[in-house]
Amino acid sequence: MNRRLRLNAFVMATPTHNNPTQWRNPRGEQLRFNELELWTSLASRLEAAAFDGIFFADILGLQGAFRGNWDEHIEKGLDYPTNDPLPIVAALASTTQRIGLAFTNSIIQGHPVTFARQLATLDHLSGGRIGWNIVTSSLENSHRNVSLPGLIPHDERYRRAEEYVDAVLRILESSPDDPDELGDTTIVHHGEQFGFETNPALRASPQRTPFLFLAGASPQGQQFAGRYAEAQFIASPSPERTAGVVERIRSTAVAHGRLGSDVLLFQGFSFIIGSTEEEARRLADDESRYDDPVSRLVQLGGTIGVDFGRFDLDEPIDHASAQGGLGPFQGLLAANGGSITVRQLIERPFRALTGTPETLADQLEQWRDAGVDGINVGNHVIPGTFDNFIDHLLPELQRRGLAQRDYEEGTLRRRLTGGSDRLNARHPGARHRIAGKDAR
Amino acid sequence: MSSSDAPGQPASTGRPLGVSITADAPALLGGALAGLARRLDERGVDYLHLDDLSLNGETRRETPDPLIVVSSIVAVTRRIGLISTHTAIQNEPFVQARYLAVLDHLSEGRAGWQYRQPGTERAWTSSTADPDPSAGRAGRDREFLDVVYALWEDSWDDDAVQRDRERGIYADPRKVRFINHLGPHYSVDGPFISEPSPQRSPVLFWRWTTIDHFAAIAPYVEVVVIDGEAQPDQAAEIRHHAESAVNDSGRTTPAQFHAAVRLPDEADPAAVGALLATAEEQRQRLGAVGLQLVAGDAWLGPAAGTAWEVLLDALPVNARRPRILRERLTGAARLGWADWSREQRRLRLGRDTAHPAPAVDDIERN
Repeated sequence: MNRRLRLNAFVMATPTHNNPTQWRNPRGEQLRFNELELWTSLASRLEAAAFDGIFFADILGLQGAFRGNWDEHIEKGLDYPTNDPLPIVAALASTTQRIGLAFTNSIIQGHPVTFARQLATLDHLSGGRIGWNIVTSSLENSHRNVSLPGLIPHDERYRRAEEYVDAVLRILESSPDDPDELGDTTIVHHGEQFGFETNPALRASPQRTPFLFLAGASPQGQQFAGRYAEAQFIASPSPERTAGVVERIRSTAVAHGRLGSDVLLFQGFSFIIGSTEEEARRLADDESRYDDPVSRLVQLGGTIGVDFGRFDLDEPIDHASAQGGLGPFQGLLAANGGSITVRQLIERPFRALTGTPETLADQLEQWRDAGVDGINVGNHVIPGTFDNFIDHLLPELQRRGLAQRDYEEGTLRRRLTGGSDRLNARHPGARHRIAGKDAR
Repeated sequence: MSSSDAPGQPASTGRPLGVSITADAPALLGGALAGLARRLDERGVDYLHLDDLSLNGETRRETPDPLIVVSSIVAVTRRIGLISTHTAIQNEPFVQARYLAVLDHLSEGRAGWQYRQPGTERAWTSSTADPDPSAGRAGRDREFLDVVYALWEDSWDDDAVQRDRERGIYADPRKVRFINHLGPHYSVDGPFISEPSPQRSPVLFWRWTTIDHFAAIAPYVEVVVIDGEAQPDQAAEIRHHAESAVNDSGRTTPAQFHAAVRLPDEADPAAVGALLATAEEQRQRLGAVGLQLVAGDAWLGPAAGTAWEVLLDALPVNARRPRILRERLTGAARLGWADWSREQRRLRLGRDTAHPAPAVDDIERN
């Protein structure tokens, strides 16, 4: 039997996610991102199509400056403003029944006690459908919004992340099944960043710890993900280059005492689907009218923390000072022979997987065969991109056994992994579990 | 933004009526709360409040996160205000301000919050290491609110958002500002990351505890909840302090008082008449304008349906009910005194960060 691909809708509560400046596209409705109805109707549509999850990205501040200021970010709506997904996910928990609800929350954003309780409450409310995307935050402004003096250097950021994540998992995994035992479960933490004495706020939720997503491209990020990720995002340039990525991630997990198969790999794409190749190209041309190469440049530089606006057009970009999330930029560098200029970045073509349902399914089959377990489906417009995917590509994927037709029973973790509802025994979070208290 | 209800007429004609829930987790996390919320919503109750029992130092009782629970009922209600409970030690002000602004967006102006301090020493340390155990707490609360209100009220102009598809202008950068707060407990650059919501600042409730705590945050409190069992002279003292604190702060609109009356442990329809007579007597005795009914577990199940119907039949609710919570309570959708409080916040509003960050190299050398 064919191994299926898991499907997440990859969205963000902002004017346009990842494809600036598609909010200008009159076919899109994402300008209504402040309204709950945009998200409830999208989630219902995705749930009817048996998408595994709806996944909300997030950001805690402005991306790095462009030409020394933030005018472009604000004027063009470049991931700004952005609403926190947590209240949206809480609302969706009561309007949906089956679909997974995943969201980003940074290790500089919360306090372990507060956030563990938020996760537990959500997992109870949703019947075990919550996923947490652990991010370490790489933006200067994000840090300066939460009383930190500036960007925490890379190594220190991951030390902090270890402490934060371990504390959250410890609280969640210590939660007893019997609420009468809450008072006897005291957790004392004295760490570098946090100190507290607490009890779990709730009995164990269906997943106990929500399903854990991570990205992580830098060496420290790879180690961190190898330790904690149950699903990891990758940005591989091609199916051919994927084998090496898969091998690296799986062997890192093994080095942390886990199985290579304990980590699912999700690759992100946006799709433009036509009934013929010609129609697909025409649709791509239409959407590229709202593409803004300079905005893409602002976003890319802003993400890695290098102001591309300060370079001459044809000067190779010096990224030695980059502190941010390097993943996408390193991919571009590698594809360009190790050096790249601002002009080359601006002239990057508008990029999406473009084709007919058959050719796109062929490509996804190649990605699947290369070791990819799931796809994050990005969007140009909401709901149009997802409507097209569901109406035209999904039936072909289902016909080939590449996508599920209906949900399996159980929690998000059980459905994504085929395993149990809770962290498996090899995961570092499981060591916090009270012996003999995990009946499931 | 403004609802269609009768322009030019006072928006709020009945007495404010709220319900505060102190039930156990199964009722809050199952369907019972949503069922009650729908009922109260249909019957015109002004707000539903969810307390945070973990702040009472409860370690043996399940205590779900109120913000999450309140957010989970946005989609199943239409007009009722949704009030969660928060304290400074749970989140950074930027994060807290954003959660509540998003709730206000999603609910189309129905968000409120009750601000309180942890009730026991254990509750303080259960959330975080408290860096300044005695002296700094009230000051920290005030600074927390200063930052939150700066983000809500000062960072975006009303006309900043353009959404101009033709010209490709989402927002006018000249009308969005960094707040550049730098204080003893918090440093927050901004600009705020959510655009102005229907109320901008969700309505701030405060449940009476001590004069000192109130004095610290009085400039911002809009609804003071007094225990219905308080003695009249206590209530008069409370009102006096509240009014003078508000006057000292230079605010023009005074806080509104709601008397909290606990519903009995049994939801008995036959007892509702006597209960309401007592509640009304307490409200008048305390000089409060609004009534807040505090409901425990017995009032969440389907068995409580009849008692609620009898209760709600007997209570006058607003005939005109704007969706926006502040408009329902006070007649105005937004704060009228934000300009005054901006001076108090001593911000360095601008289009750039005012406090240079240390170079990364310096951090690494430390």
